Amino acid sequence: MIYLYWYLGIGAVVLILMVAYHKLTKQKDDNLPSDILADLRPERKKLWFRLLNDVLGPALVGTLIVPFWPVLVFLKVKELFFGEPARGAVDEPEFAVSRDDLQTQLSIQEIEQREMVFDPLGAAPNVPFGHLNTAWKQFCEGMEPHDGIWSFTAHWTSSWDRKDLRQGYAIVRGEEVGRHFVTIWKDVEEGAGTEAVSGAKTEGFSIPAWLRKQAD
Amino acid sequence: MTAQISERLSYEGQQLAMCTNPLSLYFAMGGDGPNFEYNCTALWRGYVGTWEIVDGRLYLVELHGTLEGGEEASVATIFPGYPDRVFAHWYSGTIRIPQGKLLNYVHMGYGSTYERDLFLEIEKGIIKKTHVRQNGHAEGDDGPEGYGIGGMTVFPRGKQDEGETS
Repeated sequence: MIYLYWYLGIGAVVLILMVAYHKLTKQKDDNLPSDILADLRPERKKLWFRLLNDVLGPALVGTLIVPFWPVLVFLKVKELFFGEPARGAVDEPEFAVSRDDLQTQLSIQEIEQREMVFDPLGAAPNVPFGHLNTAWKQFCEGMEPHDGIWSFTAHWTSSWDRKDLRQGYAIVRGEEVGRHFVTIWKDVEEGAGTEAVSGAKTEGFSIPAWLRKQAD
Repeated sequence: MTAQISERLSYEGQQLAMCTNPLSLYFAMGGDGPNFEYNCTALWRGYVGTWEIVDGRLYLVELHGTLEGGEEASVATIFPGYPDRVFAHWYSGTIRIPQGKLLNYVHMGYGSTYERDLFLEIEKGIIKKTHVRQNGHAEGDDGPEGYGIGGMTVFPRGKQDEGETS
């Protein structure tokens, strides 16, 4: 029985040390994610949630540490010797046109003819790509004599699981697809065309694609 | 992470809140854009544009914002030579116009849900289709109508690190 007391006593000491270590090393901005979560879910600001989150949860964890302290010590030692698991920012993959996305090879003249902008109120320059004409010219300046320009259509899923349709023109140099110029860039809604019709009631709200796009 | 102030749209004689930013796409597609100053968490993009639909075409007709140097921004700042009206030929996509009473407030982006959404499907600046989606019915008749945001943090100019909540 004395061994059990010793075992639980060590567990209590480990718990105290862990709480002290946490308090001492807690960074000032640690509460930022909880602020963001509180913005997303207002119930996080309510008393019952704060009791659960700030009192009952830690109390339960503390109660578990006392009998299972060897696990915690093992994890801490592992962290000290091998470092913390990487939690760095995830690199957003950059959109690139692949050969499968290529449609038709076109000349600059053909493209400029089909992309001519005209507005009856004169609110856009009557030139290829209108207000984006300068960007188009800069794109063409990067071409070399044997480069080709192809139209492309690509579907792209970002790391936020946002699905885009992108169309435009890409420079092809030999087998390589190089820089691209986007002319259409729009969200692809999942289940598009199957939305509720007027008068129908929908229940439950997930985060739709347009929100993910506007969250920037 | 704050609900964002919407763009404004004049459509069929009504002044509406537009929860889509066509100008962001212009900048993303290679259009030259100045650096806007942001002094409010409800307006990370730093400007508010006023748009208009005329004969089925989408136009930018006004822009309010402040540049990093402190100068006021206008339509002409981004589109020199077109100070009054700019045809948004670069924009293809769906414009969302929330209508009716608030059903579910989300303090992020344009995440709140309202009783109805009017969608304008645009192809290269021209409306191709419109449709309305019914999202549900708000309980009670005393709730506010139309798009709104619940709060924001405003930074004194040049002191973006010290915010004050209003």
